[in-house]
Amino acid sequence: MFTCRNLYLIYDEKKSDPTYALKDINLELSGNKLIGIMGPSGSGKSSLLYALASLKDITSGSITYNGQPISSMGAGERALMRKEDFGFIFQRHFLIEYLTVLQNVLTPVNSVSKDLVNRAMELLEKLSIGHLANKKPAELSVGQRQRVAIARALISKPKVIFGDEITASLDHTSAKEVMAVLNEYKKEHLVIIVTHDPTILVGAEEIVHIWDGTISKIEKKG
Amino acid sequence: MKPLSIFNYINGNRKKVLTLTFTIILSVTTVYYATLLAGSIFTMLESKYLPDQYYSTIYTNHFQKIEPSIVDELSEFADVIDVVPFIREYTLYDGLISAEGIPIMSLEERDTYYLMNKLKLTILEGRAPQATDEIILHERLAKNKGLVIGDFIGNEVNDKEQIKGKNQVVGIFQGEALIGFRYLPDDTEIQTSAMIFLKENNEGVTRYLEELAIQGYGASTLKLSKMYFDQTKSLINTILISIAGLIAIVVTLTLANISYIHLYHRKKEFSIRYVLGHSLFGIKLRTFCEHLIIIILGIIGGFILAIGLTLILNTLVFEPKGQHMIYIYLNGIPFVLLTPLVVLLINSFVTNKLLNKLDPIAILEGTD
Repeated sequence: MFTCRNLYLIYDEKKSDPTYALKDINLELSGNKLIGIMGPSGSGKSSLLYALASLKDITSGSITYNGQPISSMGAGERALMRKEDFGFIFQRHFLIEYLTVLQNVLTPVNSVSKDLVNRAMELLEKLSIGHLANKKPAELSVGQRQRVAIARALISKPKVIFGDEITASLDHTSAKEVMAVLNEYKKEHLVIIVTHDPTILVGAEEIVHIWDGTISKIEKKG
Repeated sequence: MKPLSIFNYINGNRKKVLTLTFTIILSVTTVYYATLLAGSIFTMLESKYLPDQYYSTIYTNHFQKIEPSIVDELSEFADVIDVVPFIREYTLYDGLISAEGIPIMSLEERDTYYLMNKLKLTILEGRAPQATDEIILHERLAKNKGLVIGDFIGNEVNDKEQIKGKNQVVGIFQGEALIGFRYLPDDTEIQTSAMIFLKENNEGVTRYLEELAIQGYGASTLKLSKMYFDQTKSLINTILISIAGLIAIVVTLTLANISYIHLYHRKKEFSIRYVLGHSLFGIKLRTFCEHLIIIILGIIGGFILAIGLTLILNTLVFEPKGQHMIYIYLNGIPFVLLTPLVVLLINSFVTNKLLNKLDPIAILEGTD
């Protein structure tokens, strides 16, 4: 699905002291599984995630998604790819404050077709927040908001879920519940989670360890 | 309703939207009301100068009689239909923003009817004057002065009045021309002014009248009246443009500032929408549509408020005083639309610039 070849991501490239966020990354990510990207703060794990998701332009090398180089895609093509194939969950929920929970879940598809509304409600029920469908994000707890963000990521049945420190703002129980949903989703799709907490990657098939912008180790389970 | 519909944006941001909409409503109301006021003054001036379209006049200064030879010469012009002696006085009409001198024509009874017929004036009550101390007034003029049939007007009744004597109101008429008529007896000695009714092609007579003006006579021709009217109109237009311009600058700056703050606070929303796969063009277009709807609501609201305000003021204040404000003034609409359209333009520019510079990841990571 994703192939990275000699991938470099350099910040402040024109300055005398450029920052290498990613250095010579060579990686293949594919299959229906949960892949963890682990590393300390500033190691480049989030940069790798955003580069894979077409949200950061790489400096050199290549990333291909299903054989197509992402850097050759136009802005519209990338947007369409994100809309149709990718789902995103961030550390902070980033819900749209003026929309209700249900409307937030439907934001990626921007539709209120009966099927999609039913699917959104199913997801909310599965995440135990169906009763909050008509509430605004400000009325929810942090954990509830994160569940809404997860439902939003899953609404379009994306082929890939990108998660960036998704449990960092959750308590242990909520974090376990969220990971349970993603562990189920990985059975049919690819889930890529960036974290520095190894406990949430119990169900991961692969863990990519990043250190100072380079891959230090790839752990494969099973 | 789609989640990212304009309705949802408006519904979810009622306070912000109302602030913007009300500011636009206020600007539209203020400017449109100012244009209605100007338009009403133009209409009043047109009513005042309307009779000048049907005749030219010559008059002597210091109450001297017009030389009979001049009347004869004028009568011989092929373009002249009739030369009618008259005396012109003025009475003050308390207008919307200033007092205007309205002509009161002393004419023989048949000439009064002739002119009233020409000006399409219809008698509402009473009759035309038949004696020297009688007067017939336009209904707005009568209302303005608080006069009804049987009342008296003149400097013997009110020393501030410019009409001589004590004249009884014997009739009220209506029509476009704002004017009044007194009676001029057949045998009057005071023929200080004459009204010259002209055919359409009257360049020869007009030239002759203009030459008379050089010889110490006063002459008022359609050309001169039009020139005076155009000068007044131009002055009012300049004032109007200045008011509209000033309001436009103040409101535009205020609105642009409010809009920028609103847009700035939506950076996270734009970022997340972009990450979720909405194109920048789509986000820009939707934001433009949201602004457009707010601007349209503001414009409609502003027009309704200005017209409503005019209706209330006409009913309660102006109409009882014989004044009238118009409701629609097409020439004023470009002035009214200036501010909202400039605001829309600035909003689009700001949105465009903001979104072109958008670094969604920096915003989502909190480093922007």
